[in-house]
Amino acid sequence: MRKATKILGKKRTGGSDAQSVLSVGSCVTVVDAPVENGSAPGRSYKMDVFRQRRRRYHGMCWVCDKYSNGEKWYLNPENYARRLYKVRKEGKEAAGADADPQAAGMGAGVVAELVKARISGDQEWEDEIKREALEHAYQTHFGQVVTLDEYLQILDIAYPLAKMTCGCRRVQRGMPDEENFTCMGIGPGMYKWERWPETYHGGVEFVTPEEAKEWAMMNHKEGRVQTVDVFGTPYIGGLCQCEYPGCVAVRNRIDYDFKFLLKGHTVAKVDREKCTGCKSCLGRCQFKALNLEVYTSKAYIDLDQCFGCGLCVTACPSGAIELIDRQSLPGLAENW
Amino acid sequence: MALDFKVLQKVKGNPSAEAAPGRRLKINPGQDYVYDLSKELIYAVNKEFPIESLFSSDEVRSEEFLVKQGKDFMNLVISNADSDAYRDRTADMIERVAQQTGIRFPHVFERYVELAILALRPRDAWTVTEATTKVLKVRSFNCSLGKKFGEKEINNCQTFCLAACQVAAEQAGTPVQMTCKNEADGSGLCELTFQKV
Repeated sequence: MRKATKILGKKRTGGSDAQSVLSVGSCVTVVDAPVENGSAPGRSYKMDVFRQRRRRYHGMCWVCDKYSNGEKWYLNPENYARRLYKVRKEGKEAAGADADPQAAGMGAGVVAELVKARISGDQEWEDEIKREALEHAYQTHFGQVVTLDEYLQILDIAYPLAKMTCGCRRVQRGMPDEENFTCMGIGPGMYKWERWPETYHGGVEFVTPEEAKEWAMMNHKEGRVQTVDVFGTPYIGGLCQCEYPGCVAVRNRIDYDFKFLLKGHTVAKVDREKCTGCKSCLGRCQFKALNLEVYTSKAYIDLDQCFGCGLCVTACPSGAIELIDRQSLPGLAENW
Repeated sequence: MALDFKVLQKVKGNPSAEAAPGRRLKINPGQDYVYDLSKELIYAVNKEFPIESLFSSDEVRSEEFLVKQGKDFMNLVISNADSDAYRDRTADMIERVAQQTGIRFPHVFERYVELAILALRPRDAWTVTEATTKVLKVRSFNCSLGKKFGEKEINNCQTFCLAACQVAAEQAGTPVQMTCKNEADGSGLCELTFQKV
């Protein structure tokens, strides 16, 4: 369910600029709108703000805004770099129990409560659970959908790269470890993987960037959505390859509109001239965004539902689907 | 999107299969490892290389002296860090991954650089801002060593650090090109950049 755009506040700085802060769901955009000196903020000012906003409707996601100066935050090498060492601590902390990656869980721990709220029909309660959980999640552990191209770029800026078993699929679908190496732990924390035997009980497999790219393409071909996962914002410590309903993050987002998983920076668009109605793309969408239009027998993408993963793009033999920038579409620019 | 249907059709294989035989590592049940830097290593290094000794003579202004001191310091850190007494599981895993993948940069080298920083100035704030297989950047904030040099009105503190890092690069077997950018305003902000050659 999309929330309406709200103007949270306006302020004047230096008598010449006005700044409006817009918020939709999880994302915040700051739009600078210049105001002529001495002019009263009346109708024309409002129109100016409106025009400026429309023209400059970048809708940059708050993570990019905060952790990458407006560029895509997950392509910023700084968000993958961490120290290898700290001075050893004593007791429980020394064992790394405080940083167990599996304990993060993409909202899995909150869903039982959310289901109770939904059954009770108490919307306010449900909203409160989500608000509180997300407030915590955005500081510690959340994810965002990326395209295969972006994923491949990431594999050149993050190191080390370690194939590992997917905790979600293990729990949700009972996948045996040897068939479940569809997740990737990345960054210096992976040198300490043995600290968390439950998370890594299937073992790990360190790979080169080239091997990782090949593996990522196999996963993409098998129809898994590719995401980046934060472990202590903005540090990206995991690259997931997910599917509905096995993936906790995808499932929580689709079934409960729980925004632990943010949409990607692109959306897919069908070229109706090129689409032959072959249906190759239909089974690929994990987000229920793709349908076959009954009247025309052509693929139809609900842009509001599209997460921009690109699985449909690479499934189309006639090249009829392309990814476009989410921010180029005013109606979607803040729909993360 | 550069990758399209035709490209993906050529991709074959099972993602869960091992990339190479013997590559998969499994948990050793019952093993209790240590991963972080032991305080005793800091004490040991400081005992043999008290930082005050750098400033005890006027030689500190000479580049040769600083290069020698930097090299001596890193050799001391490495000999301690790789000794049975202080070697940790992180070091073992870094080396194992390097052998499996053939990629030694940045982390084999970075380990020595980090241990040297922690041994020399354990209370300082510093971070790694980039660590790819091509570039490593280490940024220090309010560097206490830099401040000590500043107090003596010496502005070539980077000579010491770069000489130390050169030894680390040689030991790690990863030739690097090094640059040091520090703020002249006395803020103590300093960034070392290592580019794999």
